[in-house]
Amino acid sequence: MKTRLLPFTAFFLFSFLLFSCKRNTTIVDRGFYFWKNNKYSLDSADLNRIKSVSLHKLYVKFFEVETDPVFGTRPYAKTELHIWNSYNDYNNKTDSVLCYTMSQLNIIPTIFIKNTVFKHTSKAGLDSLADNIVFLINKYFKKNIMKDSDYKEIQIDCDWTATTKDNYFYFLKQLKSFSSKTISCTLRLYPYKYPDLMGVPPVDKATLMCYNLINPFENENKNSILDTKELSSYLKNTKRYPKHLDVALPVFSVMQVYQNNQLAGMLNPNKEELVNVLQKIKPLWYEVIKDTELENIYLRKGDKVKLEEVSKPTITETIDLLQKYVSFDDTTTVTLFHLDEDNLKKYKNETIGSFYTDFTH
Amino acid sequence: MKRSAVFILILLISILKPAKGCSYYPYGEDVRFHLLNPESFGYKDFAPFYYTANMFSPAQELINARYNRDSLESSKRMNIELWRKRCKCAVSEKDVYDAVYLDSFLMNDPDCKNKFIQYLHKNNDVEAIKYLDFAKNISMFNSFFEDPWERYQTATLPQRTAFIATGLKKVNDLKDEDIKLRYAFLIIRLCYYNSDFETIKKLYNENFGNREEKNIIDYWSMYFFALTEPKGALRNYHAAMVFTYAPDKRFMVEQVYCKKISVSETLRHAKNKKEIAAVWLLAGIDNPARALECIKNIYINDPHSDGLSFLLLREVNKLEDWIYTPYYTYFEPSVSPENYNVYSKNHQRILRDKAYAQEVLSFVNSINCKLIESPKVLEITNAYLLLMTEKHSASLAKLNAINNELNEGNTLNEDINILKAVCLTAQQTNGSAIIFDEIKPLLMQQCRLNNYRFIFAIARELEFKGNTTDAALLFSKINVGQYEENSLSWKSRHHHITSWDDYYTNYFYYMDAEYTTNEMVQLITDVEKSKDKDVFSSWKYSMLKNDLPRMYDLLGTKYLRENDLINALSSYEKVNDTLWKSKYFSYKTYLNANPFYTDFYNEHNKTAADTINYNKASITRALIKYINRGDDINEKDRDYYFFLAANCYLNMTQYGNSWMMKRYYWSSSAVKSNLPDDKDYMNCDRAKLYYLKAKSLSKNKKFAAICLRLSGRCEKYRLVNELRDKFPNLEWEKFSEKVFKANKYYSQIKTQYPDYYEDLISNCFSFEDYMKTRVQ
Repeated sequence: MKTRLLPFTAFFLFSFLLFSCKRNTTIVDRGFYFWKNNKYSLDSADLNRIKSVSLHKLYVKFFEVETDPVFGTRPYAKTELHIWNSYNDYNNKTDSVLCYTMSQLNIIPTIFIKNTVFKHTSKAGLDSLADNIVFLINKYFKKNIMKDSDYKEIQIDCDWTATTKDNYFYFLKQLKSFSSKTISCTLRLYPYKYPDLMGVPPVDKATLMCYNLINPFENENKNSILDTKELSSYLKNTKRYPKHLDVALPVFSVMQVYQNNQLAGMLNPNKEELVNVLQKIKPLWYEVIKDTELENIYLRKGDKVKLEEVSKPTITETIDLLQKYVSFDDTTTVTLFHLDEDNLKKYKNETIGSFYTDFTH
Repeated sequence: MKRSAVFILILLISILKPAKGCSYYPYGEDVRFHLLNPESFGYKDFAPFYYTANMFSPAQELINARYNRDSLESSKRMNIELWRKRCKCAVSEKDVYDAVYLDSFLMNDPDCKNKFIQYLHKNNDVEAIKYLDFAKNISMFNSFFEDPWERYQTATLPQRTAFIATGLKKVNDLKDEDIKLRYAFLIIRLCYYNSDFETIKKLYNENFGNREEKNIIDYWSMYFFALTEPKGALRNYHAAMVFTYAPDKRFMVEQVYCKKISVSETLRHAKNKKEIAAVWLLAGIDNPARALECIKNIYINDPHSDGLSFLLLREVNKLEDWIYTPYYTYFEPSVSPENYNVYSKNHQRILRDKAYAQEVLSFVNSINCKLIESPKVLEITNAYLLLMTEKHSASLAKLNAINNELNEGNTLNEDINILKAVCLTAQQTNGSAIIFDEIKPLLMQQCRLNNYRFIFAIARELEFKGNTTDAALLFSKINVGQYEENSLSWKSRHHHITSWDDYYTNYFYYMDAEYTTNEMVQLITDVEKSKDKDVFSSWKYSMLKNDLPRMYDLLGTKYLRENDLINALSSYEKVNDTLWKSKYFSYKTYLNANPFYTDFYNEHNKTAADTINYNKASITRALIKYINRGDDINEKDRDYYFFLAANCYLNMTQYGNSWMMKRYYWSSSAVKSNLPDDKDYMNCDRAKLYYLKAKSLSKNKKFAAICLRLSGRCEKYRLVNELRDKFPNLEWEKFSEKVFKANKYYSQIKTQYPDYYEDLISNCFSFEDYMKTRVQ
């Protein structure tokens, strides 16, 4: 009897551990994504944010990669960001806190790769892609970031699918081999929940992307950036992910403009002019009450606008869900998307800071 | 106080070389003198190499604008002929051209309207159709693309690589030699843009290297092959062959040619006389200096080469530039040859170049015109060389003979007539030069065409031979057109610099610099007496007839420079008063200043005395009056009148408020104009003379002291000009000290008027107090 019970008990204990042994993180590395490719330098608003949160990591999108009929795989949207030419630029400034923060800041080159790149590429092509990416990152890091310094990590942002999984994972291995750097990748919630189907990328760590959960045009009543119910459905009853996990949270908003029930365009929702021309009609939805021209879009009275924002309570709720359902290591990087004052101005520095500190509560 | 005054003075006066500032200065094509137009001779395939000062911007840019778009460029024509030969000449050149070079037709459509494509389908020439289709599909890949990964200068494109693989298979498999070679060429070209030089070498050597009979496909392939070769004689040889036999590649392949490798080394690869001639041709093309040796060797080996005719023509254009640019404009030739030191002085240079022109002429005379491609080029270059070497009669005879042979509509007639006109004018003797009747219509016609160089050549010849009147009338026609193209600049023969720079583009300022008062008088007389007796006279006098007031103003100014006040006044009185209020004069900007007033320091600033308006006539009149009164021994205020005269003379110098009495341009960076009155204008000699006269006659001690003080001011300017050249690197403080100590008039004040010394030397406000003592 006892011997028959033993495997069952072991199985029960194992399952218990698997499903209930969830650890909370105690140390949070603070990160921001920098996603603009045509900005030459960090301005005072950016630096103020960096200083105020004592930022540890800045994930800078260096370039994106796509497939082109003429060039094959090629980079585009290359960054123009110049962080500093030497530490002296900041050491000489009077703000000692900022100087210190900048001196400690880790710049992490981030590359966005379209999934189509991995659809029909040969192994030789993938080798070449990895080699080229490392080359270009090194070139831009020396040229734009810091000539005499180095970086420790590369992050790859790619929404791979089941059919491109093999090529993508091969590429990640080659990237690691050619760069000798820590490799991280973004992890959408679907592959997080279904690793058996989507595979587990051969990286050192993954960043769980807690935004853009829904197709923005699929469900008009849901916030496509972050809907906590949707998030919850992914996080619940999910096994512990077999990689170190970091987290990415959204601090941006998006506005879709509809004319005659058709999507007419996207607007920067942070324009002050919008305050006086929109009237709320239902959650997420507003109606234009006055003809207004903005960013080459002519808003007519009666047009509908869907404004998707992410509020502090939503973020707080998201963090709660993550703490409840996801196992993190002792040290976790929490990264906000993205460093753009137009979007961030609605958040106070303390609020932003709380998005990091709430992880350790 | 005194040191600061000197310092300010030094700041204001810097005797510099002719100002060449940081603004535009004529050079290159703006300066090059040319009468013979190479476009008139055709040779469009050599158009990038028409002689020009723009070594990096070929004449092709200019030529393309006038290129006959209906005429086929030679290489395309050769290619079309190969296709026609394949079709047994059953299709027209146009049909082949449209099918091959335009995108209007689909190769795979047997029903398309193009007869060449129809022929290929009808005769089941499948490989030709596939080839042409392939060629069109790859056309966008026949250029460099930047490497998006920024690793290499250019990108290796996967699709281009795929096309290369497809093409290579065709080359290996095809039995049709014609199409096989065409594929080989296409792949060689693709490989070049894909930076695959190894495949180029292999393909070229296997398919083209040993062919005896070559066609345009061979030379196109050879072009890309040459681009992959290391610098050396073999590459030069290939470049020379491509240059001769693939006209469309000439501009690019010329840049591959390495001049450091001797022609004899390159010639070792030439297999026959035509190839030898081809090597010499490229060597000649690449030579901006004397290329007679190249020309001679082409003649020996391939006298019928069109390259020979072209190089001859080009050599004449070079000589035009070397001889006539300095001779007519006093600029240096626009394209400096390699050994620049040879061209040290204009005159000696011209003589040496004329001697070279004689050498070329001797060679041209030795040519058997029956052997060469263009006897007409030979005749014209002969005639022009005769003109350059001053054999005017022989030149004229030749030019007349050519004229008689040419049809009326031939574009060369214009060039011949221009040369004849110059020849006719140049062959006249000094003192009796005129404008011949037969060149009058040509002058008017060429002026309408803005051919200012021709007008200027005639004007200069007349000027050099003493007919300065007709010369001036023709100068007045130059640079008056709407467009800056063809505008002309020239310098003064006597190195006079009277404006912001040392060259002229306008007849008036040139006459200011160069014409004597006698020449001005002759010109004005001629203009005043002129009648519109015919079309040419109306045209000739039209500008200056309207400009007579300016002519009188200029004459008056010239008299004033000579200090001939009576004649100056007489001239000024003939000027319509409105001229001095017009846009031509700076009076409005600088003056309403009193030329008879000055003090110790003021130069161009307005003073309290500026309540009277003067014009040139009234200044001169008043000056004459004051001098006369000063000379009048019965006049009790002689000293005062001499003082006024002195003030006026001082104000008519570089440092005064009435400099425009003697100059038409002023700058704080004073430039020696080299005009006869330069010394007075810069050193204030005449002003000093009158101050000293005033002092010697003055019975008022304080007034005498002021006169001496102002003499000292004049002396200061003279000393600065004199010592500046002797001590160019001395610091300003030490220099000003030196100038002050050398000023004997200041020393005299100290000895003669010790009580006034400090006041006069150091007190800026003392002038008025001292002047008050001299009540008029």
